[in-house]
Amino acid sequence: MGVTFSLLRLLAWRRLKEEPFRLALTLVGVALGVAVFIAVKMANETSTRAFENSLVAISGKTQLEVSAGGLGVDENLILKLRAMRELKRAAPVIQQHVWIRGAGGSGARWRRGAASQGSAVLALGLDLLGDNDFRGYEFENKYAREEILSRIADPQGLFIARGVADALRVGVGDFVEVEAARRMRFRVRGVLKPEGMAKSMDGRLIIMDIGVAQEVFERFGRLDRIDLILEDGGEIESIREKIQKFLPPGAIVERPARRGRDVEKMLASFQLNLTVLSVIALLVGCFLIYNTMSASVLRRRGEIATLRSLGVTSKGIVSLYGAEALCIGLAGSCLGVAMGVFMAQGALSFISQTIRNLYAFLEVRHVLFGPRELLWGFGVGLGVSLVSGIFPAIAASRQSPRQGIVERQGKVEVRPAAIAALVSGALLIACLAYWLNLQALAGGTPWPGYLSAAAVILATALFSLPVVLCGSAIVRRTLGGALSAWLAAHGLGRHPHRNAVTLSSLAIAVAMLVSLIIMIESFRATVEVWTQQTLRADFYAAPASRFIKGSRASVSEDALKIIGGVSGVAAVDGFRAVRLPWRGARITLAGGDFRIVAERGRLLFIDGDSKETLTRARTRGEAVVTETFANLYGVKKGDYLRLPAPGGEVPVRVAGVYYDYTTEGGFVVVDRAFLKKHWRDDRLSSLAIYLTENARSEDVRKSLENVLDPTMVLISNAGLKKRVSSIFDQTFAITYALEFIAVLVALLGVATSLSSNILERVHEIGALRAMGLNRKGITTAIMGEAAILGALSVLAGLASGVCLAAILIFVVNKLSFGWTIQYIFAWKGMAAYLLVVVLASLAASWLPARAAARIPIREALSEE
Amino acid sequence: MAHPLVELKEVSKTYAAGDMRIHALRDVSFQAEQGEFITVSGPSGSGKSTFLHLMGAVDAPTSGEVFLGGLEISRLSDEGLSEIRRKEVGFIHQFFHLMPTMTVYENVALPLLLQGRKRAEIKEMAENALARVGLSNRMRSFPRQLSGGEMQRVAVARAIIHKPRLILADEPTGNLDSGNSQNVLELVAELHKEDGFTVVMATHDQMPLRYATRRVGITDGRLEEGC
Repeated sequence: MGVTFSLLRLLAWRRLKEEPFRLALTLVGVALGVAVFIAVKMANETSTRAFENSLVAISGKTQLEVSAGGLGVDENLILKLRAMRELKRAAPVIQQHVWIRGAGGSGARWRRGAASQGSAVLALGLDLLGDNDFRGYEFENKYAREEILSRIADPQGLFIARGVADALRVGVGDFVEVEAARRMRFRVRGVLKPEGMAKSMDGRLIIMDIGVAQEVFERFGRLDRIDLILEDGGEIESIREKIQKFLPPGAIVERPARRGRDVEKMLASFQLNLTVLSVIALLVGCFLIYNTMSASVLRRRGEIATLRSLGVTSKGIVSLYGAEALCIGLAGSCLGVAMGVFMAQGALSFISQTIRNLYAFLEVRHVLFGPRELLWGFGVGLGVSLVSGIFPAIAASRQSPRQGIVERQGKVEVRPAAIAALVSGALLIACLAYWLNLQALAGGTPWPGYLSAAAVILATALFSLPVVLCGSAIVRRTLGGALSAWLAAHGLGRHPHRNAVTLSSLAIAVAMLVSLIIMIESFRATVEVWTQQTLRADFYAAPASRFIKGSRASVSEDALKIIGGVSGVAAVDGFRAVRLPWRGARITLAGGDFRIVAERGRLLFIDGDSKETLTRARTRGEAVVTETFANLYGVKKGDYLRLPAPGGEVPVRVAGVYYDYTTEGGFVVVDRAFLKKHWRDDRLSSLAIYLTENARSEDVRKSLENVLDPTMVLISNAGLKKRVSSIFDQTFAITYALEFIAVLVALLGVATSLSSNILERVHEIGALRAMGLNRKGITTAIMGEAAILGALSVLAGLASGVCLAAILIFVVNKLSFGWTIQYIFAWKGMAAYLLVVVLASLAASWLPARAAARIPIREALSEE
Repeated sequence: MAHPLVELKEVSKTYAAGDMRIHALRDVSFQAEQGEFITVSGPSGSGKSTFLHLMGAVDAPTSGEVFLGGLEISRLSDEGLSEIRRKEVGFIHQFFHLMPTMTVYENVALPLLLQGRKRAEIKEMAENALARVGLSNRMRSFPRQLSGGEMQRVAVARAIIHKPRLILADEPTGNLDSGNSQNVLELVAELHKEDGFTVVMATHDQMPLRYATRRVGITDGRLEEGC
């Protein structure tokens, strides 16, 4: 050990110090890889933990809860439950999402259409006098009991958490406006201490009395759920079964944690995709270390030989080079962990925004991390350094003492048998990848798809050596007449192994870039076609709170009559979506006016005509389901779904399956009249408004704004499509950011590799300069080498990326999210990106090329 | 019965170069006693270096046996061979093979460092070795700051510092001018006289022959005495 440290200090450290540029590139590359990986990990964990913590905090000591999805439960049920001897306490809960803003004297009005105005918060309606056994919360100011009672009893009062108070800059006594089923003005009667429940959702929480909440959300006589605490000693599962038998149809009793499981399941797929992307940057960082260490071993063949002739064992050489890789990994990890903490904050912002857009209301602003996360970062950095450094170290140890002494110039021969083995291996792995995809599709799980993607990446890496040799040979034959091109090709072929590692890292980064571009652009084009064909109404209206994911905000169906009466409006389709418990999960049951949709709208059915299918479904009381729902639950056309309803289970036949890209969980859609009849719900979630042929859009908009309740947001067809596009871009912004970093790390690899090549060719460069080649010639040759390397990487990456995109679109995405995406190859955009990669690799070569051109001839020729 | 320091019994060595097989040594038998100064002459590519590498536990024979101090070394593990090189052998190469990142002092001290000797002991022995080769004033210099003759003297100091029984010198003057060649050869001869180690020196020059107590030659992989 002591000898290894001494050699590290005397050999490795001094070598690295002499090449600060190369060391810096390697360290930054490793650091970026580690940083991206732990940033995504920390951001994912923070968002998941925030979601789970809020569930736990809001549930408090609740052991079981009774709910009936979006329809809610009858408030009288609580009295029956309280009579059960197994239950100690039962508490009513209304839980909704609303917009809130300060109204303290500014007099400003809500601007219709600006749904983002104000702050989204979680609103809880609780029995404030009897809830203490369930949830703990305290006021910042100490009040006497009578004072608290009077504040609770105020029907125009509410309590806000510190986060809301800070965001709105309001305090006790100020007024706020709450945008729910109706707009209401409240006086802040107390600010909750930022602890327990009031700390969840980053303090974006308001509490009001249950009676007030029922009025604000127009849930008269209904509760969103009833929370239960059991008598001591009760066995939860048997009591749960007993309560379930006692409940009316459509209601379920379950443990609180179960409520968040559906969202967590969807979040897991999203987060897994991000993790896989972050691993790519780490993988490319691995290649960088491997590259640096391989170069080091090749360059130090003489040094290794001397050490071996002085009696250092092969194990000693492994220790020396392994320790060097570990030191690079340790330094890179330190830098990476520090960078990762900052990057995690940015990643969290992207991730939480996407979660808010697609999955659930979530407020989390600060990354949670502690020693565990930091140690994890170091561990990952050191682990990948060791893994990527051990192979060059073993290669160094296998070098016999004689080899390095005799073969001082270290000419690297590649045997034809080795190339044949690599090509055969790559083809075999490609076949394995294809087989894994078939297994994934047959088994309905995306995991073999991920393995298949990994296999494609491995095949790309195996192909890289033959690609380098072929590329070098082709350039020599085709452009060999030009000295610089000949030199560039010669340089590439001189160290095929190391250049192959550089090529594979850049090719893998390019492959991921290509696959993501194809997937995202295909997805975008598919969604655009879908929006063009299915979003046909001229205007859409919905309660402002509906723009908060997970909101249950609704309006009275009177809106249909009001809007229908506006001049220029031809038809109004009222749409209602409610959550229902079904097969152990929560699904969305929706009701739409099938007559209007059949006549004026259009759904893209997998098979069958839209008008015909909807008309038949309306007359026969059948449902249509989205493709995502069908894939998720294995439902097909003709199947019967037994849906829970207040009057008992309702069997509904599936009339058709249609493409839809609005939610991951999908919908079951029935005619709204059918929904009203069986689920006794006449509320509306949103409205699609169709104008008459001659109507002037702007005139109708003004008329609609005059008649609509101010809590409603009115969006034009173009506005809605723009919003869809904007959410799409937000969702994939982090994907592009992660991929950009992976490409950057790979480009650092190009610069490192070229620097290594140059250091080994000092004699050659000196000789060429002595023979009359000028600096420009040297620069052109080195940059030409980078251009060839970049172009070969792009070609290999393109081929691999096209395959990866097919796996992502037809296997991983299909099985993870259930969406059908048309495979579209966007040539123009792709060509632009790839050209940028080649130019960037050229740019990465500029410094090494300049350094090569500046090597003094005398020194180059005299150097040992 | 006393063993010769080095003994090769019917040793052959063959290398593969593409489809060709090169016979570097053919059925070579050889013995060297303690204290001999043996020169091995022959043209380039005759097998001189291979001959030295086999004796120095740097390479293994294709057939035959190699003994060092009575120990058969051709079947030893990497660990065993490394230990032999660490303790019994000192190498002097044509191209010096100094560590460019290490100072003259550190280069010379390296064999002792590898043996895990104590710092004070290393310091004393390294300073002594450098004094013996006349480079006490260049201890803190790096190899790139030295002349060819000085670099080879550092290599000599490194070869003798751990008091090996066998010094293998592969064309030690091949990269030096005649003045420096003379100096290096005289230095090796003087050290040989003082320390009593065995020297086996490969050369295709005439100059080293005058220091030899015994001369052998290699032509086409075959050894001849008295060349």
